[in-house]
Parts: sequence; structure tokens; C-alpha cells
Amino acid sequence: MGPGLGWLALLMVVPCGLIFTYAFFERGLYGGIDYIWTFENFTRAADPLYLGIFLRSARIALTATAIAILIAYPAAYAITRAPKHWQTALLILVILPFWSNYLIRTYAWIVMLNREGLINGALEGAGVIDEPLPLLYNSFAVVVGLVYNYTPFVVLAIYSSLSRINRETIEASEDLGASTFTTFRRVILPQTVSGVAAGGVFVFVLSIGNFITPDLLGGGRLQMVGNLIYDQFLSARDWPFGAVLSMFLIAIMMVLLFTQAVLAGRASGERTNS
Amino acid sequence: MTPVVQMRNIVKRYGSVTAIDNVSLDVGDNEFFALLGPSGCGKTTLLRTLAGFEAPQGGQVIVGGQDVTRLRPAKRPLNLMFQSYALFPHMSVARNVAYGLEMERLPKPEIDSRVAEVLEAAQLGGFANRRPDQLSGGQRQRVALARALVKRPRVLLLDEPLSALDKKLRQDMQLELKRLQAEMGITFLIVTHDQEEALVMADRIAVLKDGKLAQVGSPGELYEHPASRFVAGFIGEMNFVEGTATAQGVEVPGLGLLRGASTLTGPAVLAVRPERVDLLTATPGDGRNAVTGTVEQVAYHGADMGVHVRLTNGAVMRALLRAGQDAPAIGAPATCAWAAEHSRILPE
Amino acid sequence: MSPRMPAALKLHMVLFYAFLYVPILVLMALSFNRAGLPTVWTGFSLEWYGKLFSADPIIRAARNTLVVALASTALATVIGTALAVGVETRRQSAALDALLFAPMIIPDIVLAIALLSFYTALNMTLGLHSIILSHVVFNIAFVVAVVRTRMRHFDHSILEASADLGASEFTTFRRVLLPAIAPGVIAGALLSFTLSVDEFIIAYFTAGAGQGSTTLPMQIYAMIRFGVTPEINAMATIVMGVSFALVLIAQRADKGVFTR
Repeated sequence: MGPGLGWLALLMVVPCGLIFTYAFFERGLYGGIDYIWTFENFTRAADPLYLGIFLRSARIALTATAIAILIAYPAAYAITRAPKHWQTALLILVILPFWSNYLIRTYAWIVMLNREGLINGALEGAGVIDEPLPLLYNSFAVVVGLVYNYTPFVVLAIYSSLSRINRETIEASEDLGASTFTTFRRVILPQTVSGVAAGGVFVFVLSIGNFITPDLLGGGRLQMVGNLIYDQFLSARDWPFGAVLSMFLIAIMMVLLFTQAVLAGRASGERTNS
Repeated sequence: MTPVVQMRNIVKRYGSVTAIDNVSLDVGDNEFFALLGPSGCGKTTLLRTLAGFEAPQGGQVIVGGQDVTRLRPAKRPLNLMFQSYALFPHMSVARNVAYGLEMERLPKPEIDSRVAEVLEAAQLGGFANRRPDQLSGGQRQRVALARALVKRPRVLLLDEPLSALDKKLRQDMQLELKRLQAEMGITFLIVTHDQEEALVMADRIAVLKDGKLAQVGSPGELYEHPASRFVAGFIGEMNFVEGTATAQGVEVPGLGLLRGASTLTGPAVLAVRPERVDLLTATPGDGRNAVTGTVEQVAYHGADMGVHVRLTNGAVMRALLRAGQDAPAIGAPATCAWAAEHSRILPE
Repeated sequence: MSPRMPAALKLHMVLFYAFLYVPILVLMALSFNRAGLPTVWTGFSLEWYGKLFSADPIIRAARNTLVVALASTALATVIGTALAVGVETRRQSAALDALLFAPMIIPDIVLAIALLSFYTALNMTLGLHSIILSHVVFNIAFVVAVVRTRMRHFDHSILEASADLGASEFTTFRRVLLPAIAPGVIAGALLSFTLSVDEFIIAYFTAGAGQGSTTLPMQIYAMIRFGVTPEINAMATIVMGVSFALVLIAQRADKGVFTR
């Protein structure tokens, strides 16, 4: 165990701690750090300019999360209803793209969405539009990219809680006279809250801190927190401010994960109590 | 009887919970011994302490005259057959059985012949090259047994060995285990929660309750002379009538004096087995204990019939009628009678 | 489960899988298009693959990626397996779980800047070695996760049985524990290899200046920033093919590594 814990301590805990301390110092004149104690980095983060970027990131991440859940839930449900021997294959098909290169998956949407891209080409060919639609380099493209990249995980999370439902509770509900929809709303959905929460938190956390998707599909015109952090370290050379931004990101993430853990704990508590 | 296993004042605590509370127990050479008790009574913990997987906070474990309390499991002259069987899933039946002998660094020819011999004895001759997941539950159970027995331990520990089998197979295996134990001349120490299993197989039984020894004795002793209300109720079926002990028996409000050999005074309980209770229509004139009530329920079992009688003091007494006797009508008045020698008077 | 599935649900499933696979399949198809453009199909050609294999920077990037992935996978597999075994056989601790879980969920940009700051503070020269050190961090987390899942799915009394039959701790590890968890170890190694091959941001931040330690994803990123080119399609097809093959092998090694 020793070497592993040592590795994680040295190359994860210490660097993150370092970033944490940088947040309280002034930036050096030519990049780097001047070791002068200050809180200015935090007040700067509250500037409407940066606050706006945070809010926009949150809005985009939230939209992506909602759409991903709306796509994933029925898909996961359909997989549980498929014949047993198909289910593994269907799940592997869901997860397979998830394990290919993120850059390439994102790039595929540049090909799909650009002015000469497949979608515009198809729509023009069908005579639906005369002018290509501006599909790329805007928040629409970013949301599409995020949904595309993270929906598979949500499907897995929801499938795993759906497949744990005791089939007989559904039959009992039908036997007691509930319609299919009522059974779904009152019996199935409550038992999958923890799966939806796990998947949702995952999409939100990875979306709000994302760098590649806004960079490539937003075309640099649409900044999100991830790009802002990137700029502080690689172009603006303001490490302390970048550190503060990362800390906010981590804080948001921890609050969400904690909420999700509480939700999951309550769900499993209800299951053992009943 | 030379004790091959001696447990002296074993104490095992988990935090504030005492799992084994000062247990001392001897198991004789060549004995079939059962540790019996409800779940959570500490019987499995005691077995694992013997095997060396739990370190007791106090006490000694002596096997064959040698103090093994501080020895690792690998160094102890006893082997454990696990409740889950714990077969190595990636090894064939033969490799599983050979494993323990390879650890003793025996020459290969000897290992091969001993493995073949034990597989034959366990009726597994044709299965040597199968994997555990290609075997039935009963066959897996035999492999686990063979793997432990091939080491020729002084003592074989068995943790609920039959609990995963269905009822019919379980009954066959009870006799099979008893036969094997007699043939091999090894001490068997078995943990079970099933009193019937213990009665069928064991030469002696130790009943545990809440980490303490409740009673140790032969099946007959435990059944006929239970030392406590717990043992009386846990082994077989028993009727209990509460009252106050006197020199003649137990004085029960509403039923009068029920006779039986008594050395107690104060609150006590009279216990009598259902098969000792006769169901009559009138009070007998032979001086037997008799109580009256009405028939409340009749349960047909095939070989016999259980009749529940609600007594005049509100208690329920159960009597067993042999097959062929006429079932009494529900609601009919009835008298339950039994001889004073079948009364067991126990502390409350 | 139930044989009847509403038509709407079936349609959703078809559209969902189309959404997942159409972009990928389009890319793959275009890589064989002579014109290399999405608008017109001008005939089958392997021209773009040929161009790819004759470009020195791409060959060098591929070699760098292989070195990073192999080294970080080897380190992470050994360390991660030991860690998983250690954690699962000892008392559970929430703090330890959080530490082992953290590298998987920390936004990669944060881990990237943290590591860059750390290396800079140590005055370390950056290069392939610093990428390897960094990749081991998240690879450990994935190996630990897969091996721990595997460890929870076998009967731990086989370890006690081995000890009871006279085996030492080392013999038990070698002859009973390792074979029992081997599928998990192999699957974990394949996954960390795949992750390492595909990882971009952390490598980008910790590679240092200069072309010497450019990895394949960094090369791809540069090419995408340059614009849509037919060579990227060809490269994407190869990279995805390799990833898919590795993931399918991992799935075969440890059935349910993704779906439990």
C-alpha cells in the first residue's frame, strides 16, 4: 500500500495544496508567484466579468446535464426492457465511444456541425434551408458536445439503479391497480433517484470545468471556467488568480458530490428500512 | 477419554460486544462434537478461534497437548471446512485437493496417490479435472471435505457444512459425515444452528447462548434432562407452565399442584414434552398430572398429529397423538395428562 | 425482461444509438474519401493514411504516446493492485476511499495546473518523464477501482482456506489471490493504457516546451486547431480502432468491468 499512497500524496495532495496556497499570494511580474500575502485574488473573482463566466458555465453545464438525463433515462429504461442476453451488448455499445479519444469525439461534431458539414449539407440537399445554419462555435455546439460525451455515463448510472429494482415491486404496483405511468412515477422513479443524481452530478462537474469542448466547439469565442483557468496559466501568466478559480471549481464539485452522497445514502437507507 | 482439544477460559470481544464469554470446553479424541446455538451465539467465532482466524483476548487453545493459541492457522494441526466451501475457483478439483499437501512439500508421487485415494473415498473419482463451477452443490461440498481431510488433521472443524444443501441431500450427508468420521478416526467438531442435525450426528453437544456455554452433554442427556428453560426450548419441542416451585412440584394458579421432582423454590417453570402428554376426555384416576381445557387447533403431520389445548388458566399445551388416533373436534373439552416423572422443573 | 416494449421507446433507442455512432461512423467513412471532404464522395482511397504514416511529427508523437502509456500503465498496475489489495483486506476508511477516488473526478484542468505548479516549484525539467509521473496518478485510481470491484466479487474465505491448508501469506497471494483477481488486473491495465493514450490536458501542461515530448493527442489538438483536414479523419479512425479493441479485450478479460 505504501508506494501507492505515497505517490498519490506526493503527486496529487501536495500539488493541490500548493495551488491552494498560491491563491493567497500576489502574481509575479513575469509570471510565477511573489510571496506577498493578499486576498485580492478572491475579490477579483467576484468581478462581474468573471462572475458572468462562472454563471454562463453553470448555465451551460446545467443545460447539458438536463438534456443528458432526458436522453439517458428512457434509453436506460429501454435497455432493462430488452431481452436479457442483449443487455450486456447494448451496454457495451453505450460505453464504447466513451473510451475513445475525447478530442476526436469532439472533432467529429465539428465535422457534423460546420457550415459545409453533414447536417447543413443534408438540410440544404433536402431543400429545407437555403443558407447554412450557424450551428458551430456557439453555446448550442458546446451543449451538444458535452451531451454527446457524457450521456453514456448517465445511461450506465441509471441502468445500474434500474436493474437493481425488484421486478416484483413493479408487478405489485400493477396488481394493485396502478397504470403504467403511475407505476413509473410512484414506484420506479423514486427507486432510481440515486442513479439519476450520480449521473447528473458527473455530467455537471465534468462540464463546468471543461476546457476542450468550449475551446473547440465554442471556437474560443465562448469562454467557460476551464478556459479561464487555462488562460491564467498559459497566456495571462496569473497563477494566483488561476489557483483561485480552480479552488472555486473544486468547491462546487465537492458540494455537489456531498449532496449526491447524502441523496444516495438516504435512498439506500429507505431501502433497508422498508 | 483423552481431550484432543482443550479450550480454557476463552474470551473474545469486538469493541464492547463480548462474542465469547469465558468458555472452557474439552473435546475427546475421535469424538463427533457439535457446537449448537442460535445465530449470533458465538459458535462460529469459537470455531474460528480454534482454527486461528480470530485471536482471543483471553484464554488458551490446546490441541493434542500443544498450546496453539499464538500459532498461525497454517501451523495448527487442525483444518477447517468453510461454510461457503471456499474452493479455489481457478483450480481443478484435483489441484484444490492437492494444495494443502503441496504446502507440506510432500513428494509429488505421494501427493498424487493421496489425492486419488481421497477423491475415490469422497465418490469424486470422475471429477478430478472439473472446475468448482462445473460441480453441483453436493459435489462441491464433498470437494471441500476432501481438501480438508487429505491433510489428515487431528481435528476437522466444520462450519455449518450442510447449510447450503437441500433437505433430502442434507439428511443423506448427515449419515455420510458420521460414517466418514467413524472410518477415518478423526475428531469432528461441527458448528450448526440446526438442533436436529446436532442430535442425529453428534456424540456430544455443547449448547451456546450469548457467548456462554448453556449445557454440554450427549443428545439424550440434553433432550431428557435440559438444565435450563433455554436448552429445553431450543432442543426439540417443549410445553412450559409457569408457577411456584415447592418440594412436590410446581404450584400453578388456576391449575393447582403439578407434580414432578423438584429441588427449587420460588418462581419456576414446569416443562413437559408434547409426546409425553396424553389427551383424555376425563380426569384419570391414576395420580398422573392432569389439566383441563378446550381443543383449539389440530395440526396433521402424517406420522403424528399435534393438538393445541387452551388450558383453563389461559396457557396453551401441545399434545402429540400417534397416527391412526381420531382427531378431537375443535372446541371440545379435553384433559392433558402426564406422569410426574416426565415433568422437568427448571428455574424461571 | 418484459417482451413488450412501446414503439416510442424503441424509436428512442434507435435514435440514441444513432446519436452515439453517426458522428464516429461519418469520420471513419470520410477517412477513406478521396476528396477528404464531407460534402461529396469522390471514391475510396487510402491516400490520407499514407500521408499520415509519412509525416515525421506524427510518427514521433505516436512513439512518445506509446512510451508514456506503457510506462505509466506498468507503474500504475503494480502500485494500484497492491493498493487495492491492501485497502480491501484492511478496515474500510472513508478518507482513504475519497483519496483513491479523487483523481477520477478532479477536473483534469485542475490536476494539470496543480502538477505544473508542483514541477515548477521543484525546478524540475519537463518532458516525457513528467507526463509519465502525472499519468500514473489517475491511472492508479482506475486500476484500484477495477481491482477493488473484482475483490468484492470473490469469496474471501478462499484466502483463509489457503492459510488453513498451510500456505504462507506470500504463497496465498501468488497462488490464490492473484489468479482470482487477475482478470481485474488485466482489465485495469488495459483501461489505464487506453486512458493514457487518449489523455490530452495533463500531458499538454506537463510536457514542457519544445516538440520533443509531444504526444499524439497534443498533435491531434494542434491539427484540429488548424482546421478540418482529411488526415485527422484517418488518424481518428486509427486511434478509435485501437481504443475500441483495447476496451473490448478488457471487457472479455473481466466480464462486467464496465457494467457492474
